[in-house]
Amino acid sequence: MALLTLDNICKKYNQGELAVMAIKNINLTIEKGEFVSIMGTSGSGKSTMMNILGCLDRPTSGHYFIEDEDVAQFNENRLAEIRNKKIGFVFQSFNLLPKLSSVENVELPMVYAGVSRKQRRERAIEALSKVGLEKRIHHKPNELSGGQRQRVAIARALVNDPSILMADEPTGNLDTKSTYEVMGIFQQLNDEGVTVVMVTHEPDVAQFTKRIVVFKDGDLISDKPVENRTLREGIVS
Amino acid sequence: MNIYECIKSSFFNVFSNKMRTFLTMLGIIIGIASVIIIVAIGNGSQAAMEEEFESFGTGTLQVSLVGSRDIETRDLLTMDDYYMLKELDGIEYISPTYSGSNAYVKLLDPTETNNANITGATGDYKYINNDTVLYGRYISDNDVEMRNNVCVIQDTTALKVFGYCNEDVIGQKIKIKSWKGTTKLTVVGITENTDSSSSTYSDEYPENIVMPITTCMKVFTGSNLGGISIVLTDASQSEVMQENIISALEDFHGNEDKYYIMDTTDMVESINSILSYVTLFISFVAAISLLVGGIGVMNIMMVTVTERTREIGIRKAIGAKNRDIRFQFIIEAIILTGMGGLSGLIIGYLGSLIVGNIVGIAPVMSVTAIVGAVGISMLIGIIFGVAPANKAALLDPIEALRFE
Repeated sequence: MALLTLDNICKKYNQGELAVMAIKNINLTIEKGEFVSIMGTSGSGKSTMMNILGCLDRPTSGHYFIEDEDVAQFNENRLAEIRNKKIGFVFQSFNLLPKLSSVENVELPMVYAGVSRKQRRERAIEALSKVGLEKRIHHKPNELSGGQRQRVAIARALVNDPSILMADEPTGNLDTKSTYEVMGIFQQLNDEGVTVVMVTHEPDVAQFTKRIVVFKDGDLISDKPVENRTLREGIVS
Repeated sequence: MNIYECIKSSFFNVFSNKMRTFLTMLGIIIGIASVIIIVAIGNGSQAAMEEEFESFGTGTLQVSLVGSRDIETRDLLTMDDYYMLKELDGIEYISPTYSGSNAYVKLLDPTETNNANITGATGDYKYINNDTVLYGRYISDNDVEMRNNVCVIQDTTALKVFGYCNEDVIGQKIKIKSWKGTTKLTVVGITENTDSSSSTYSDEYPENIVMPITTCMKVFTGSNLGGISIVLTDASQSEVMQENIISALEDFHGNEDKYYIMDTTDMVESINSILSYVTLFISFVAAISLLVGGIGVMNIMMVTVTERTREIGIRKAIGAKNRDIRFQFIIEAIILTGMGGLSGLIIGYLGSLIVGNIVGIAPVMSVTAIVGAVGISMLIGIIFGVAPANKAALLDPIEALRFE
């Protein structure tokens, strides 16, 4: 069974009296261990796709299976649970809580999962070590560089051991060096078996992944494996 | 998310903006403090009032003229009325009274004087006023008959006039100045001052002096009484006896509707009910300030929710349920108002001591008021926290994450 299966997914937005189809009849399957880029210009429907994949939003029609569960019409509480346990988010603007330290930020998903305090701390430190930030655990986000912040966000996304890592333009706010760093971490995690789905509009960044899906005007117009893949040059901290 | 985590994180948030937290709490602090002060002072004055009347003796009837203009000379109460009423059945103690103010007592330092409350009475007044004689004796019927220049003073007065309070005071003279001139009175007895209010030892506290009614009339005015105080043999017969006394007086004077009897038991009740109405009214005003404080809390919570929209979005994206968010904001509101309530309680307690000191009433703190104040403030937190918390809980995570 595939990890993620989209079956005829549509999303309609009502803008006044006008109904806009953001995505139309999407069928897509993502297997465990894949590293997929979702590309497209703005307004192509890739963000809507991301929101539905990440269970932040529900499709208007169709079925969305995560493993064997159809989450398409789950209520808000059950979606929150799915987001908490099965999905890890990485955002363009990091979205760390500014008043909390790195380790506290990473602990947050486990707070909502009901993990004990001692275990939270252990697992948060472990996740931060995985992204090379074991020496920065007590730093606040504003004491970290952009690349470091994004690595904290990746640690946070990983800490509940999700089925899938969702990244929405994760390198959009980063310089080239940090972009390489972050993409390198994604590749490394993918090599270790983590499934990664990433939205980007930069072809260079998409070259780090294994498969590129392209959206245009709400339709999935292309789905190809990546040739001449860029490979990481090792983690720089 | 468990309660402990939620409370911890709420405390963290509340304390991360100390100035705002303080200003928000201020409304609650002022509201709770004023409720505490008012209730404490109200209870205190009620207790003081009750004690006052207890020493006077409840179940005492006070006969006096009605306060209207068409009083003629023949209606006035005189010693003859006293002698007449004394013969009635069912009366245990009876004393004519005349109260004179506008009199001064010379103190130890001969250049200083103090206000005196002069009461003219007979020997029975000792029982009516529940006086305890410490030294010497009370005024006697012989004193009344002979118009002796004698008086009974209180222990506190003895200290202020003679500098000491023992047997040696008996037989000494005190000087009373009134508009009629100076009168020297021999002290025949010292009674205990049972007034427990804090002002007893202050300089302004008047000297209470009891002298024979006849002497008093000689010192102050002619032949009219201020009133007649009566203690009944059987207090349960009060209503019947009041009618008997009034009709006896009306027969004696040949008039109608000129006399009035106040039962001190009724008086205590009516004063207490007035006091509790006043307390209730002021509490109502204080409650309004509490309500305004609560609205202030709601306002700030609304602002906080808007400011933290993005944080709410992040928390939801990583798995916070609506109820986790709602709970967090309600807890924050309760922390705000609860801490405000506690601070208000402390300030109210200190404030009531200060106010009590100024107005001379010992404040009475009740557990009900304390528990109520903190409970009400937390309840305000819940009531005024629900709307902001719901607003936060129902935010759409996608919109919230986009919020700048």
